Amino acid sequence: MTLAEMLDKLERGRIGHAEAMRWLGVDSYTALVEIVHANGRQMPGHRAGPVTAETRALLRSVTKPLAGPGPRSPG
Amino acid sequence: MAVARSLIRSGPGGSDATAGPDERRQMARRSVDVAVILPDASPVITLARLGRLDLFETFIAPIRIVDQVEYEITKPANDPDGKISAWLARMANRVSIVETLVGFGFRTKLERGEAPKGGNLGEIAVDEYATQLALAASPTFVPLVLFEDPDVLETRIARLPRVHLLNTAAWIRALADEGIITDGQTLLNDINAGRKSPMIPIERPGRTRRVQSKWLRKPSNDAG
Repeated sequence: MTLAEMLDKLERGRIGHAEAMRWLGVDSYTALVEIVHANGRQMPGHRAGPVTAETRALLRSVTKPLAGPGPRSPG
Repeated sequence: MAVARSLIRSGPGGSDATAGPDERRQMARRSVDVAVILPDASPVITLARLGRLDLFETFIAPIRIVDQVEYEITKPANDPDGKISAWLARMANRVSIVETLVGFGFRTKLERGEAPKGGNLGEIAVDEYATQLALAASPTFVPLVLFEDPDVLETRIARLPRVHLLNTAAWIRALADEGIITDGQTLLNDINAGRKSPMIPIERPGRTRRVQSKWLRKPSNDAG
């Protein structure tokens, strides 16, 4: 099983945390989550947290609302 | 290097979202240079497939794309119906194409009739541009880097001072949270429908000792 396959199985809930940690050779849940996130994956059942206040403030300062909802241009 | 300026308003408590009109008038106006940098073809290609390139029109800050990435997003394999080329034409000078030696060399080879392999030239061209920025950018310049490929996090542009990193999912969520777009969740669902696994929002706010989240600083007495 490759790393990608293992992460895919973990994300879909086909293998558990313990098995994933054994496969990776890590002994902490934090390390497991870090590896999962670093590979652009998410732990099963977890939801991504809200965007930070810094990001919202930055975007507020460099964006303007679209003229209307939904697709507006052919692009 | 020309840098467009965006006025950033900073309010007590770090945000002007809850401030009243009088408070807003009294807020310090700070000037910070912000440019959106696309080091990765994916955000453009993803939104083009969904017909939502109009999201880039929400930016009032300039958008910069290095020449080699422009080549990648407009080549027929990625832009079969010409939507991206039309978008670039429509955006006119709101998108600036940054010329790099890497891109110049690639184009020269194409013009000679050779068939150079693009490979990871986009990444190398972005590294070249990041080096220019590291050496010559203004101390108040804030690069807002919009990406999708997690490999971007390991490149030089992700280590620039004050860089603020956002992937497409985090950008869309923030736009929706701010009320700039109304169909953020639908858009994320559409993006994820075409992927094997959902796109996880990734963001890394820009923080340095010198300009620590400047847009959130408390106002001071200076004119900004």
